[in-house]
Amino acid sequence: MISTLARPCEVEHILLDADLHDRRQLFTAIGQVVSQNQPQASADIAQRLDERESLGSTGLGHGVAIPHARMDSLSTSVALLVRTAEPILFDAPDDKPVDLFFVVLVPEQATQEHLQRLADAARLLSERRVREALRTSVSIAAVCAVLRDEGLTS
Amino acid sequence: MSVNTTETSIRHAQLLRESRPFIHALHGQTVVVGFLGATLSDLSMRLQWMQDIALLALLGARPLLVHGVPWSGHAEQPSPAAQRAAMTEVNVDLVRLLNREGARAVGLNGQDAHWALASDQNEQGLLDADTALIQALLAGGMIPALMACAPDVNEAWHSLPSERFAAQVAQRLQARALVLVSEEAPSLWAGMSDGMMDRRGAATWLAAHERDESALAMRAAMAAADGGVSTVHWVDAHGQGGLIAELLTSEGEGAVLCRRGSTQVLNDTARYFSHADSVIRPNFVAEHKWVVRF
Repeated sequence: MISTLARPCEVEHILLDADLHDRRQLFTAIGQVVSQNQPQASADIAQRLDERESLGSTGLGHGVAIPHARMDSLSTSVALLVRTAEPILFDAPDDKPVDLFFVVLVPEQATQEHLQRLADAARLLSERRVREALRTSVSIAAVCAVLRDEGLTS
Repeated sequence: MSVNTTETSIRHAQLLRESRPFIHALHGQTVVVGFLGATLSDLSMRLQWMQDIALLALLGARPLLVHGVPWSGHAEQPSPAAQRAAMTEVNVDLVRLLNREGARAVGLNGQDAHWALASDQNEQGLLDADTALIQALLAGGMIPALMACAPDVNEAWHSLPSERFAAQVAQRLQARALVLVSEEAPSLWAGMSDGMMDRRGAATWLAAHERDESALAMRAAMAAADGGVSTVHWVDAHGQGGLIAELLTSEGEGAVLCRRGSTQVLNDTARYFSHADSVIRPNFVAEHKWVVRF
């Protein structure tokens, strides 16, 4: 059963058909979306995501990944959904490029609730019908509806 | 030009464009395609598969194919001489079809240039192999079409299980992917979650299906993964365009065994959150850690 999650994946945190071509561009874009007009904070987010990725890819296969990072500047978790215009190489277990990224940033002292959000994302994106729904959604509103129906937003 | 034709052309162009990142990922990579059982006995199926393998080569991948005798395990086994004749006949036809489809193929058995040595126990497959010739052919843009047969140290000829032979060749070439094409494939992946499993899942599957016909293929797949082959795919022999769909789309058409799977992702995540009061379990549930104090 999917847990109720504390914070929604906000509309401004959903990027559709983003023109990004590699991991570095992806993490830079995520930093800029979360910390608008704060270059240092943006760079920190990109760096923390990259550090986590260097432990082992967060790619799950079937074109999906769940990049995540602990941030000491956060008091609550932030989630983003990024769908790239073209799949990008992400060292996924099935060696296939990735186009769906559910990104979770959590406070440094991550709690059960924060980890559950990550676990929920991983479980849902392991389902083909969810991936297909997210890939075929033509608007942010449609993506929000999919996430809401699946319990990933409130 | 009619509207329908224009729409079809645009759709074709779009499909090619969408495939570009997958083609890029496979460019220059070795892909071993093994045909199991009676897969190649159907002539129309044979043509369809050779078209797909030729397409892979034309797109920049380095495919190589392995086949045995197109014989159903339920039928009476032919004599060694009949097996050898049948295998050679199929090989000649496969090479002809590949060349007709615009690729450059060459047929080989284990005796050619003495590249392969069979174990005297057929089920063990190859005892030794020098893949320099095959690597040279691949580097030259050729498609080696290998018969799953080789002489043993006493020069006695052996027909070897094609799944094991293909896995051993993939392992020795450090292939990016091994694709096993089988009529049994759908029953094999029926128990897989979302068409994907890792080494741990494969071991669990094997423990529950020791006596299945597909167990041989699973053992070969696990050996290949253990030996460094990144992914092993099972594709239904009857699926139209199954090879292309499996390798060049996110979702694929078959099932895949990944050397590194979701268990590893969760382990890495647990390491990353090792200081946290909770942990993500393999069933995707976050639980408080139990702390025993002395």
